[in-house]
Amino acid sequence: MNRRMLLKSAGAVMFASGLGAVPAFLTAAAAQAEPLGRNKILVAVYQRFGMDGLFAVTPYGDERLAALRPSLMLSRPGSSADDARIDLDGQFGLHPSLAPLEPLYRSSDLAFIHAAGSPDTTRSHSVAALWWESGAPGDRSVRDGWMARAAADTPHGASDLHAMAMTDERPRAFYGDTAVTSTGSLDRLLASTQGDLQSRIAQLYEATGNPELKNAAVGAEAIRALAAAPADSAHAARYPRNSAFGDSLRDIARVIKADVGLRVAFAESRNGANGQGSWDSHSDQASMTGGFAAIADDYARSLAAFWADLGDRAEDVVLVNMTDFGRNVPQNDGIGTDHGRATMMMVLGGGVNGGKVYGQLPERFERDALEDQMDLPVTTDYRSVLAAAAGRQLGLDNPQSVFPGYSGGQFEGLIA
Amino acid sequence: MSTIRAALAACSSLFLAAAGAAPALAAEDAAFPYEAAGLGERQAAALLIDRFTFGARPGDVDRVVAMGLDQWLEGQLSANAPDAYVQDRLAGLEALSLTHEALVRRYPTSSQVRAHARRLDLIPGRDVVVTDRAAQNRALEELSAKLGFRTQEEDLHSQLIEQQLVRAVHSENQLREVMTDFWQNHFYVTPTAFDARLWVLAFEGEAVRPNALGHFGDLLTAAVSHPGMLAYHEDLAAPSEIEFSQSLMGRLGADAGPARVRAARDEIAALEAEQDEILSRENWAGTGPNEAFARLILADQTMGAGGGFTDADIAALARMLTGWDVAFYGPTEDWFQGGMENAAALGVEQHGSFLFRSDLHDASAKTLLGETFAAGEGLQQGRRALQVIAGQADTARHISGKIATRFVSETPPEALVDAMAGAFLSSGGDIAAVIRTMAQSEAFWVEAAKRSKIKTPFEYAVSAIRGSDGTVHQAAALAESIGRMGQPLYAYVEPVGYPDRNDYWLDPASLTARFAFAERLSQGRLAGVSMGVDPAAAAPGDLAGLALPERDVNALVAAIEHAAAQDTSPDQVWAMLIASPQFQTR
Repeated sequence: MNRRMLLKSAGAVMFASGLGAVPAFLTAAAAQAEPLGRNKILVAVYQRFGMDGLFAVTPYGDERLAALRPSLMLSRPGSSADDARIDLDGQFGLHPSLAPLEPLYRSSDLAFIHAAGSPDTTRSHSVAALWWESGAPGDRSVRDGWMARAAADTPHGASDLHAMAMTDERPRAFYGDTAVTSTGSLDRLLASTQGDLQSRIAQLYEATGNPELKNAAVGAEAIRALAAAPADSAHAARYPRNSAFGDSLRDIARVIKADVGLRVAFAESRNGANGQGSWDSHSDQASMTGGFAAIADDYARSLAAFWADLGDRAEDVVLVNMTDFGRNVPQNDGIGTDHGRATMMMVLGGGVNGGKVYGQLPERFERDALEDQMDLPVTTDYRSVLAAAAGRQLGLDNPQSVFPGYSGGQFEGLIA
Repeated sequence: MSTIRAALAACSSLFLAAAGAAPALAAEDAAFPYEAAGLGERQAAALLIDRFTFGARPGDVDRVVAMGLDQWLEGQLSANAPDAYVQDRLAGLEALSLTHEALVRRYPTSSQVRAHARRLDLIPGRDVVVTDRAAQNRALEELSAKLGFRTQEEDLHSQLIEQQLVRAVHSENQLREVMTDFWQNHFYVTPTAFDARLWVLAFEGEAVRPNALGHFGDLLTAAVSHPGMLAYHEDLAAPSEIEFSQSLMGRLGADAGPARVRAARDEIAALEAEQDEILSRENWAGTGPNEAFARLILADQTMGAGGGFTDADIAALARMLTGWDVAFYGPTEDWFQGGMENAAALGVEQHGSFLFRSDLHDASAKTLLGETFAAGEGLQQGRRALQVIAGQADTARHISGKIATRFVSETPPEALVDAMAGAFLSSGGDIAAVIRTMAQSEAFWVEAAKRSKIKTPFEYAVSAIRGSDGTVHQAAALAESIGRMGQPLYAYVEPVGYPDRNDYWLDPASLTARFAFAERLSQGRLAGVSMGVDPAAAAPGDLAGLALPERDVNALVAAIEHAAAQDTSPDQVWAMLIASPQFQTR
């Protein structure tokens, strides 16, 4: 279904439900709407509070690393223990709670980039998140976000739902001069749009001479029509239950498949299912019943469900993660890790040269090879990865310009 | 010669007139030029109300016309209407009447509570690994109950929201509330910054509201020297050390011996204590010049990004403001007194909870905007600098432009901004004079600008309740609804405040949420809010006259009557009116 069909179907739904005439402005908008074709879409997910990338994907045989974080190596691949890592390539082992990502890695749709991060060395959550989201590390004068700038540079129709955040308020990455559709729950929003009254209100916008209001109203009708394009229940069942992150990805998949002009979307992994777990793994990190395992399980299952849900649209989508920072290489005495430097990025999607672990880890995990004797040095600027993803998905000629002050390149070879 | 003092010297007679016999004098001169724009008196009254209040209540147009439009505006500018209902409602909000010291003691941070409990040996020291977290939490809860501690996140924040919404909906001094909202967003302080959270309510009530219609220089000085603003910008410059301290343990590694463990813990304890406790003066954090704050003051809060200041001016202002600090409080009196005795012994100047720390102040001579400031002026140097900045022609233009953008259109005509800036300078920065000049300008009334601004979600919700002659009994559900329309209150995370742009507020989801809000309100399903208007008691046409007084609503009424003929209930008719495109603008 393309957008024109969707807008028409919105009218048809209203008509069939006995809700009165199809609003003429909607018909007109549908007639004028260019068939959008299959656009490429960029999805960015924020893992709040800093994922330990080195724990998610670990060089499991590295004895020097094991000396620094003995509890965090987990059982070696092939072990029958329930915390056995999953061997990726004879060197790296995936955290067992991330097992749902293994098929995506094997099918070469998912790539990992180790030792990625920000040039700014802050260990503060709020500041680190600001740099990832503004896309201008160290520069507080940049008041907007890289996703807003990228979305603004992407051609779109006035009433398209071209930028969407699955949060009630605009995330910092979407601060800026472009309309962003923000909602913490598409289901809740859709539920509120049903019924005769909402249809009658929508029709009042036919007569408005205010183009901004009219465009928003046409977009609102497209949202309302999403109710007629329900989530695919077979796929929906694969998302984790009671998962805010899973719901967000499910909603994004739904909007992608409805073809209402979505180009850039944002979702957030703050807790795992049932509000359990956190990436901020200061303690009890190794336990398979601890906070990291809980949120990693939710994250991986949500991503895998999203990928399956997209079906043949998956090739149009690239999903990339952001997170405050990685964690200290040495574990602390609460069997956790504190705020560190480099983390790991994950890029999933059509055209991704996946099935590989990119990035440069220290040759020897010794104190002197670490930043401040304790942290993984950043060898890949996160902006090179985001620029590569944004450039390809949004057709930007110069995606680096989305990142003010950035003079590095795009990550080579990651996305075809 | 563009400082306030220069302006005063040149225009002293005008200034005195404005300050003294202003209302009557202004009223005589002040026929609003709405007829030239083709508006009748009632239409003009409706436009004034739409712009200078949070929305018309039923009957407001009659009241304004009876009073005379200019007299009504003068009354609003002087903000002296009795406000007994609001006073009564606010009396239940304890935090509004607390001194700063009492505020700190009532709403300590969780780390302050923990530190205090450690002092009393109620929980183990920091060098002990807590094994029984439940017992520790119980001890903390008991201590909090015993000493009457409340939370910043819930209790204090709910009072911030409650007072904002009660005042916006119910205050008779509507323009002061509108301008308080404007200035709070301009001199933005947000509870999303950890160290500012305690102060936002006090900042708004002490620095902003009393000066919202006063003199800009006073407002600027009050804002910049308020603990809320200082704490916010200290937080932005150097975020909570606690967070950073957590990374220290990582230095230990698996091979660390007991001595290194203890040393790291001591380091963490010291960092935490900096926030938690009143330390001896030598442990107080010493911060250098905050150029980001100085740049914000010049580029956003006064002269504007294109203003005639240089990097050297920014550096000079930052140095002038060194030593401007917030008093150190702890959650109990002995902490506070201990800290202040320490401070007094070291010659720290205290004005309420504002501290001037000469030990951290750069006392050298400086040049700012071409004016020379002698060495050793102390606190006066920064204060005088703010007055100089407030009196700049660039400041007059930037502030006037921002006010015109708020009230008239996203692209206010140059001539209008010029006229307002002229009033700003000739009145010594009198905000009321600027607003009065704006309303007396033809550009204020022209068709092109009329109702071209989209209401923010906050403005929309408040105007819908006012239009419904409604009452806010409890604000939590209302605040949540406003958040779902895209504007969680006080939650923007950049120090420039929410953008004042239509496209920021108008997206399909936000509009959809506005429709849902209209439905809930009209059906009495918005918790804590009741309707005054009875939609069943009047025909759609009459209801339209209540919700959208003096507006061209013929087509709207025809559409609604058409719907009403098809089983649309009276409350649904009301929902259609307040969800209509006409109701989204002001």
